[in-house]
Amino acid sequence: MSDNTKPNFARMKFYCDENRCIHCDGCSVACAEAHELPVEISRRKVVTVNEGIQGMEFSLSVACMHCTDAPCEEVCPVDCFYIRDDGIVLHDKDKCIGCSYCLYACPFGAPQFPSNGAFGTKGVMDKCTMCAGGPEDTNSAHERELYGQNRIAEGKVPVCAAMCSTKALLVGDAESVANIYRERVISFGHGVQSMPYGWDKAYGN
Amino acid sequence: METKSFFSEYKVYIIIGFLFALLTYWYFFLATIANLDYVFKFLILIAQGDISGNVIPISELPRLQQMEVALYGPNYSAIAPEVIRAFEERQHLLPIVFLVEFFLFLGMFILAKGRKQANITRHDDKIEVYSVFQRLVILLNIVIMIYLFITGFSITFGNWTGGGYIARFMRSTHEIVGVGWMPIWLIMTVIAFKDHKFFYRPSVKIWNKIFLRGKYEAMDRINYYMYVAFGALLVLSGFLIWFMAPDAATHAQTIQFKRFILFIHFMGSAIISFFTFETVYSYFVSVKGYLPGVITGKLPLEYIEQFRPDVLKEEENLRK
Repeated sequence: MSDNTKPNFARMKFYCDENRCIHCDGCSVACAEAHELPVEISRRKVVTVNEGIQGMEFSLSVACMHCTDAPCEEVCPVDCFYIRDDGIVLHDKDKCIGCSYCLYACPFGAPQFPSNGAFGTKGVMDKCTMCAGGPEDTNSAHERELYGQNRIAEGKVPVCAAMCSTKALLVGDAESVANIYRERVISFGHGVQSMPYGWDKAYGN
Repeated sequence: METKSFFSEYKVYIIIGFLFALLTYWYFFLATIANLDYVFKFLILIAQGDISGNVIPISELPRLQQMEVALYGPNYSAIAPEVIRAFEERQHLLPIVFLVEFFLFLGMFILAKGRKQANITRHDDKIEVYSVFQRLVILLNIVIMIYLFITGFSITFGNWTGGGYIARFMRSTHEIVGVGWMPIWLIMTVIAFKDHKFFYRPSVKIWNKIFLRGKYEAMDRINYYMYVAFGALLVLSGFLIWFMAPDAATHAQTIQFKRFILFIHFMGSAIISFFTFETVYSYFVSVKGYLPGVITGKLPLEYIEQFRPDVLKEEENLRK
């Protein structure tokens, strides 16, 4: 079979525009509600930099960036991570031993750990799935219980980006997201001088 | 009086010191991919009580870097790639290292023509060498260390177990049992500090029920010092890893420190394992009769005469 017959999958990426984010926390609340996450888990969080300093304050929403060469996958001792054809990085909670090596390797602090392991220790890792579920049967009760909603299978946008009122948080095919980023930067009257935050680490230069 | 040259007097220490210097040079200056310049600055920062890893104040960074540091912590490429490399190295190199160590001890065993065995004719003529307290501490130390080795390796070699519930349970209990090992390690360190030249042993009965008897052979003394030094590293780093459990709220402020601590834990466990194997070999494999002695607390007098004359001498001094 020649390469031309292979389906051309999208390469899914996140982008948060710090000039638009108003730290409303809509994305993180929507994520927690949609996936019915326990209180200690925040798959997505919003951080404000230079808080209180006039003219220098800005906010950003951050979660797993679904890296191209995901270091979490590289370092996992039980190989519980896998990367889908569309670039979404997922993991198998039934295999995960909660060692947290992925957290040490992650440049974005995405892996989260509930304290529900034996004797109150760390439980299995939880992270943003880009609303794409896990390795269980799509939309099964077990998948929903472990990973939350599988909106991607239903043709929907991840809930965080869908909820973003200022459209600061974008998700989608890399090319489309990059085009929007470029247009926004050009609208300021100058060209693109740097990549969106985290893109160099997540997706390479 | 027999005069010994400096080298023959301190041969074991010189050889071990030289090997350590080589290992340190290889580990830190040849093998590492960590940014050592950053690590040194970070250590100075830690000494000043700042564990954030921001060697350059956040306000002095350009906007893009401010974003990264505020969200993910500073200098990802300084330590994290080293943790990844060290982890992969452990998975692939440690089995080879252990195999080499096994054949090293097997060679020693063959050269020594098997286990040394005391010639005992009077089986009932025994003296108490270990008090109940000492036996409890030594046996707990042995059992806990075996458990920590097994569960620690079940994490490192997770690619063999394949993960799942049992491996997860072992990982959890590694943390809890590790915390439990801390007092045992400390007590063992204290009671085994028995023959330093500054150590004065009073002839009080209770004293001998706490501190172990006899004197160390040179290699056993090195094993003890390594147990203290690298045990301290493991205890401290392990406690911090357990205590600073992943917390999303403080991630950016603590992640660099956690990476550094994990690296220390990796290093400590790899080095202590050699000296632990050496201890296991010299106490349990090369000589017959140590374990029953620790379990019952008593050893046959003839065994002590042949293998532990230092203990016998102390015993005689006590009886005077």
